[in-house]
Amino acid sequence: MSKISLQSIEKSFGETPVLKQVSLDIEEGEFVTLVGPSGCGKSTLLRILSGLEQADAGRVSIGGMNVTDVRPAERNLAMVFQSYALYPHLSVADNMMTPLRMRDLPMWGRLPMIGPLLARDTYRVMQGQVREVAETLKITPLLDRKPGQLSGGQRQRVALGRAMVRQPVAFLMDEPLSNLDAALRVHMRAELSELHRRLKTTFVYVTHDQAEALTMSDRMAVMMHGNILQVGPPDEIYANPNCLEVARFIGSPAINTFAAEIQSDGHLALIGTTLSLVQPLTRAPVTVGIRPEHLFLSPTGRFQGHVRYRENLGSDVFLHLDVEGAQQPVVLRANPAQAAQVTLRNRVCFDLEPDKVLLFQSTGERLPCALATREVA
Amino acid sequence: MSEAIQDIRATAFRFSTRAALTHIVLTLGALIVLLPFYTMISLSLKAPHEIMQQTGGFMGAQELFRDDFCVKLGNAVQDCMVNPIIYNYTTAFEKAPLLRYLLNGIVVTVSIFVIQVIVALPCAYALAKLRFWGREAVFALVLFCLLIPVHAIALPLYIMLAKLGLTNTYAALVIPWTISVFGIFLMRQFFMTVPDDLIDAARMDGMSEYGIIWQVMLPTAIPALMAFGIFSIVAHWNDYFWPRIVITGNRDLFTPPLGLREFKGDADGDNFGPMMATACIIVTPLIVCFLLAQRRFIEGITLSGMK
Repeated sequence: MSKISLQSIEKSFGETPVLKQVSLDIEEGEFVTLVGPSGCGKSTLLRILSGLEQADAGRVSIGGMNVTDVRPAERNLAMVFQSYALYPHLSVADNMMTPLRMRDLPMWGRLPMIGPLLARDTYRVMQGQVREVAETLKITPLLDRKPGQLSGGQRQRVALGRAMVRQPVAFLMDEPLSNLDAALRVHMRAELSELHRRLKTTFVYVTHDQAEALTMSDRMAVMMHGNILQVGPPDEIYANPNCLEVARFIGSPAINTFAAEIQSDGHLALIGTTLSLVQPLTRAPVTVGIRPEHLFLSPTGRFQGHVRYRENLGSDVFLHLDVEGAQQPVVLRANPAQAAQVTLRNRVCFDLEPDKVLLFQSTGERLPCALATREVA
Repeated sequence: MSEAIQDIRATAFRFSTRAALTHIVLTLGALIVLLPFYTMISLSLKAPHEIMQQTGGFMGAQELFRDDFCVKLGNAVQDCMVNPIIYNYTTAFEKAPLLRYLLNGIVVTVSIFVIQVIVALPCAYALAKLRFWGREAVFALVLFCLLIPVHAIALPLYIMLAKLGLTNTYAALVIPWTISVFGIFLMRQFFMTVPDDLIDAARMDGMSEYGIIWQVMLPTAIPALMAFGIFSIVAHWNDYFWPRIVITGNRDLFTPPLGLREFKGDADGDNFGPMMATACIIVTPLIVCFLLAQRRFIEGITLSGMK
C-alpha cells in the first residue's frame, strides 16, 4: 500500500510558474521516469514529492496518507542526488549508517564516543544492515574509505547504498547518472534496472536523457514548461506521441518533421508528393512527423534527396539528406550494406512506411489519422 | 631524449630579471617584518650593559654579570653573578606571575573562539543556505559591521560592562568579542561553496537544521574554521587595548600583553632583558600553533573548499 499520488501541484519561483497543476499517480513498485529538457520542472516536482520543497498548491499523498505538510525524513523516502551528496568527513560505512542513526537511535545514542557504548545492540543491528547492503552493491571493500578516495562510479554506489539501508517506500533519483562517463552510465542503467527488479520498490527517476527514460522505466512522464504532456510506457510514448513536442523530444536522432497540407480533396501534400489518408480530413496545414527508421532507401522511392552527411554508428548508418521543400535535412536510417553504396552529395531515392507516419495539427496536437498503406490510383 | 633533458635544465636555471626583482622586493619586505623579532630575541639573550651600549652582536658575550637587585638584598657579590639568558628568562617568570598570565590568555582566547564559533556557524548557515525575508538586508548589515572600528565603540561597551558590574572579570574580556561579524562573513562565504545537495541529503536522512550545522557543515568547514581560529586567537592573544581598559586593578586577570607592563621603567630603570624574554615567551605559543596549522591555514584562506 504505497501508491504515490501527486494532485494538482502548483509551484512558482517568484513570478515564474514552474509547475502548473501537475498530477501524477505512481503505482507501488513501479519505475517511473520524469523526463524533459532542463528547466521543465521535473526536479522541482521530485523535490516536492520528497518534501524538500513546498508546493504552492496541491496535495502529495503516499500510501493513501496526505503528506503534503510532513517533513522529508518522515515520508520515508530516500533520495539519490546527481552530485551523490556524500558526507565528505565520514567513512563509507558511516555515510550509509547516518539515515539509520537518525531514525533508530534516541538523542543520547547519537552522541559521539559514548553513543555506541550506550546503544550497543542497536549499533550492532545497524552495522549488520549496512554490511548486507554493501554486499548487494559489492562495495564491502570500500566501507572504511572516505568519499574523497572513491571514483565516480563507486560514489554512486555508496549513494545508492545510503538510500537502500533504510528500506524506503520509494527511491527518488535526481539525474543520478549525469556525472558518470558514457560507458559507466550505460552499465549503471542496466544495474539500476536489475536493482529495481530485485527490490520491487517504487523508483521515481528524473532525467533529461531520453535514452535513460526509454531503457529503464515501466512508465515515463514527459514534462515540458511545467506540464506533464504524456504519461505511458516507453514504447507507447515512442510510437504514439500525443503531441509534436513529445515526438521531437523522445528519440535520437530526432524525428523528421515536415510542413504539409491536407488538400481540399482530402489528400496530403508532402514535399511535392500527394499521399492518401485513411479517412479524409478537412483542408488544413499540418505537420508530418516520421522517425528515421521508418524511412528507407528505395530505387523506386517517391522522394529524392542529396546526401549531405553520413553518420556511421557501426550497426546503423544515419544519412542526412537535403530534400527540396523540406526546411531541415531529413535523417534516414540505413543498414551498413545499403549505406556503402551511397556516396556523399549524390542523389538518392527513398520512401516511407505510410502506417508509421504521424500527423500533427498546426497547434502541435496529434491528429488521430494515418496514411493509407496502399495508394489508390 | 638527452636534448630534452638539457632543455628542461636550461629553463630551470635561466636567469629571469623579473623573478629576481620579485625576490629582492619580497626579501626586503621580509627583513622589515622580521627585524623587530630579531631585536626582541637578541635583547632577551643579552646582559643589561650590552643592551645599553648596543654591543655583543646577536648573542652577547654570555659573560656573567652582577645582579644589582640581588646585591641590594644583602647577598654576597660572588653569589649574585648571573648568566644573561638565565637571568632574563627566570626574572620574566619571577617578577610577574607569567604562567598565570599565559593561563589567562588561554582561557580568554579559547572562550572567545568557542563562543564565536557557536554564534557564527548558525548565522552563516542561515545567511548562506536558508531562504527568508530580509536575508540580503541582514547580510548587508553584517558587511556594514565589518567597517566599525573597535575603538569607536569601546567607551559605550565599557560603560555597559561597568553598569553590569562586570569590569575586572573574565566576562569583561570575553563578552564583547563573542559575536564576530568577520567570522560570520568568512563562514558564510565558505558555506556558499557547499553544495545544496549535501544539505538536502542530510534533511532526507532526518537531521534537524541544527543537526545539519553541527554534524555536516562544521566538519566540512574545518579548514575555514582553522583560518578563522588563527585570526581570532592571534588578535585576542595579542590584544593590549581592551584588557588594559576593563582590567584595572586585579593582576590575577592580566593577559600576557598586560604582563609586559610589569617591566616598564620604574625606580630600578628599564629592564629590557627580562621584558624581551617575556615578549618571546608570549609569542611562542602563537608561532607554534601557526607552524602546526600552517597547511590547513593556507587551505582555509584560499577557501579551496571541497569537491
